Amino acid sequence: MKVIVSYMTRPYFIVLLLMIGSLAGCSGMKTYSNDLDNNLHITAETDSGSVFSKIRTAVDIYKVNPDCTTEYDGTVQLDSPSVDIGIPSGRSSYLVFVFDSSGLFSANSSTMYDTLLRPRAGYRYDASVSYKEDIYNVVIKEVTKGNMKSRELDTKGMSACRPV
Amino acid sequence: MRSPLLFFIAIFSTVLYGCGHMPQTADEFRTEVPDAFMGEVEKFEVSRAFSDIGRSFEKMAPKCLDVRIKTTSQTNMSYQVIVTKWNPTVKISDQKAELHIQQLYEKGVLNVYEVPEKGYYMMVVDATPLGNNRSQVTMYRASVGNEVLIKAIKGWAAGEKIGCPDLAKS
Repeated sequence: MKVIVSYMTRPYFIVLLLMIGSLAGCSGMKTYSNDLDNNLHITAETDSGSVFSKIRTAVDIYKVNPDCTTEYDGTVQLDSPSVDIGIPSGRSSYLVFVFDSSGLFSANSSTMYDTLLRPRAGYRYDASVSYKEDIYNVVIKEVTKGNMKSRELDTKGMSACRPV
Repeated sequence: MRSPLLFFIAIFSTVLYGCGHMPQTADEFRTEVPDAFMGEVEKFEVSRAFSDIGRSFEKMAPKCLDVRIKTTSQTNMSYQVIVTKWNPTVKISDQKAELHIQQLYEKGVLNVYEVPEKGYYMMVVDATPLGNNRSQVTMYRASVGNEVLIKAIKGWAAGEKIGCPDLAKS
């Protein structure tokens, strides 16, 4: 399930949000501790379509427990063209790609795209993330190391998780 | 969601209300949209079999349109939160592929008229065969708003590798 949040605010409210944002150290967001071998290569391309607006992209990573509950592991900001991270193999992780849109003359909004990913040992995963002209896309491919064969993975939300 | 869009949707809905009810089925929606103020029936041809169009709808609609949107608006005097659940349905038969898009207001909107199970119909798209791997696509929708959604659905119908519309901008 994806959730989109849209705000229509007054300027002072935006200023207040900016102040709160500058105190992000107090928020629940934490940087994903990338201490595993990199197996997920993410390329991100964003274009808000206007000089007056901006798109920020990030991916929140959650551990999926056997009973399908999740634990927040951290966030990776996708503010460079490509990022490599390590996702545990042999168990499911829940990835939530977040597109935050903000602008001078438009409402702020946050759009999320989520999927379960269960990496297999011996494979690497290429995620192509884009946001252009109000259309976003996330494509994840599983690539066989060595012969470079790849297949696109179907995205599955948390509703596809079955307790073990 | 931009406030003008809410305004236009409100007008479109009000005109459909004019006959004393909101369409309860996709067939009723197809019948009432052509005569509704700000209702539009758009037809175009696509060089694909209707079954392929249906498969694109099956792949993309759950991925992109099964969403919940929370809109918060604040002024000097008011603070309003509207939560809308979008519910897509795809049906493929021997002669037609259909995409129904419904909106169920979960919070912040008083539903005066009877609400269909998955919410009020806001768009119905049909793909029917023309032969030689060509199809006609018919969109029943409001004439204003939802530009990004319409662009995405046209891309899916044409088989383009287009992604999901940001419905907060639609």
